[in-house]
Amino acid sequence: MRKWRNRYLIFEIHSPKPIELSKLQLLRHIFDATLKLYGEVGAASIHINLIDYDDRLMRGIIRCNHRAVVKLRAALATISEIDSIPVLVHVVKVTGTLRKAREILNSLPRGLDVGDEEAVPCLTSGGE
Amino acid sequence: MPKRRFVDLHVKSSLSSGKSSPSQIARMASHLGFKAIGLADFNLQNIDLLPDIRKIFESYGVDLVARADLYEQSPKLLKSALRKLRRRVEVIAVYCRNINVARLAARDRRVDLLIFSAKSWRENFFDKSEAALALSGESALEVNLIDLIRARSSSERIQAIRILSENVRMAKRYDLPVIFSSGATSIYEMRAPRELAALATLLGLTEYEARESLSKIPLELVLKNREKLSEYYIMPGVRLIRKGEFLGEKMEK
Repeated sequence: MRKWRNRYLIFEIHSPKPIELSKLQLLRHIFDATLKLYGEVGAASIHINLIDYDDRLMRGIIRCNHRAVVKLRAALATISEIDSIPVLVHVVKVTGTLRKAREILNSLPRGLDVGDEEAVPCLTSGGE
Repeated sequence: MPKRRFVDLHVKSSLSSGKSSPSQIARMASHLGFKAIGLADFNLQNIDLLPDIRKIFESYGVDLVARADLYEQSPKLLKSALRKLRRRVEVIAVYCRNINVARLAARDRRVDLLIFSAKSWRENFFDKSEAALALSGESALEVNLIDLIRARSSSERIQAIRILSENVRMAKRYDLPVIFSSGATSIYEMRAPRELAALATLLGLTEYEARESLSKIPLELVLKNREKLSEYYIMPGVRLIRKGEFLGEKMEK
């Protein structure tokens, strides 16, 4: 039997404004996304575990089965809003050890400044 | 092994119906790891803004691909739009909303990308004939993953997965290139290349095929079109190398 191996996904959440989200609430959103996409059996096979989450910087570490990294990435990509606020969950890096994952998490820059409020669409013509 | 250069050929900015400005898109694209972004905003009215927007993208180390999306409902209007835009933008995509437009777009070599609705089977005109025509017309199938990302309900997402995976299966059967794009209208709808590749695997592609559809295939399309648009291009395989004299007369070009 092959050895059980884990992968650690370092992720960050981008949103137009900060979202007050506890570790448990975020885990529920991740479970919902995987459950919708793969069903109960599929979601269980990913072995999701939210190891760390910094609600101020909105970034953290998720552990999963090494065979299910792509599945988890797809599920995270389908999370498009939390509490009616549009979000982008970006997997920064995948590592094989928690120690390395924490090192990377701590070395990430403070956050991405994408500028002011979202621009107002100025329709010229043609576009939909 | 050289690092993959990921491309998202379909993002809309506030120049058309998008919510984010081109500079916000450039910043986010650079952060997510894209080397090139196709801005699907260009038309005859705003094409003059292209050099300025290109500079913004260059400042973030992202290559801008000028793209026009055509929504014409009749073949006649589509032909007219193609005539006006083909020499001015690098990529042209056509939304195939009826069978006549779909067939013309697949046949016409000026069209690069074909987009089909993922909302209902009735509006999806991608079939065997369309795939064969598209192959001869050298166009590619574009799959916008926003249909999976933005789905409001499970039923909507199930329908999108069914239609898109059937289209991808048909394209693979006919060796038609498939290009995956986000189709984002805001920076929060954009996804990193690996996330888009992961979503593409839901449609029946292997991880390798999905990554190729987000890097090599779109990049080749853009480079081919850039060469065609260059002043030195004459025809496939023939380029003007230098200007010279012919029988004592100076050639203009």
